[in-house]
Amino acid sequence: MTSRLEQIIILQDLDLMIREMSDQKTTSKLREIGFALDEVAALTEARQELAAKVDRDLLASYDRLMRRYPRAVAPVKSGVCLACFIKQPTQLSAADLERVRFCEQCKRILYAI
Amino acid sequence: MTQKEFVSYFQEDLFIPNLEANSKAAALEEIVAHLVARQRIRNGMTVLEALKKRESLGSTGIGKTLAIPHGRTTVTNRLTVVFARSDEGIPWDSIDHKPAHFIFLILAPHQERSNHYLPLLGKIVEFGRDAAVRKKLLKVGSYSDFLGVLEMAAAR
Repeated sequence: MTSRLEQIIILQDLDLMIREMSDQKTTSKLREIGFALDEVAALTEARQELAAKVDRDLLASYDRLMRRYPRAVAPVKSGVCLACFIKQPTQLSAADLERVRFCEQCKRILYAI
Repeated sequence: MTQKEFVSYFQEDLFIPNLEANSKAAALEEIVAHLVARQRIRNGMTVLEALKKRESLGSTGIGKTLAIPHGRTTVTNRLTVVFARSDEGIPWDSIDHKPAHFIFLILAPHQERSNHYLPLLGKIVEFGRDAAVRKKLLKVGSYSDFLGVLEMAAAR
């Protein structure tokens, strides 16, 4: 079963893939390298399906963060948020994917790498 | 990207001499599980989802027995490459309908200072499209053999 944090990570990866694959410069480069690419419509549909499964409050926080920052989920290494470089007051458990934690400073959703 | 930088992306613990998988989905799972086992990523499931979504946009089987699955993911902070071989070949919906024998899986963080992701993809395609390189890769049994092929390609 997909945890709440995993759902949000998958959603962010999908949103950023849609953004990247909507960028003509990137898709032109990928085609030039030799990759065949379809339109992103199928990804947009998958995004809607996934978003419908995410907890409503968590999705609202995620969407708000995505409007404010380029990414809503930030990696944490050795207790430091790698987006704003603030040390978190409590250790983040990498194994606990159900509990969604937010950075004390920038309020981004945290993921321990 | 210099040749030295290109070679530096291939690590011994991310070399898989013979994949057991016989389908694209199973191969992606096997390679991602390898990355988890080597502690390069903690969460394989999210990576697998990103790779599958990328495949849904168009197969990464670019022909000439090469497949280059790739994607950006939240769960890594470094550009990572796995090279895997399959003696049997894996159906990959490739452009030329040939099975993939050489799989280069590339993961990149969303934000990458060096900006090497696309150049690395291009360099791997250039490397793998060389017929002499593919002939040598068929016989590669160890990481040091593989490094020898990289060096041979650089000298050409």
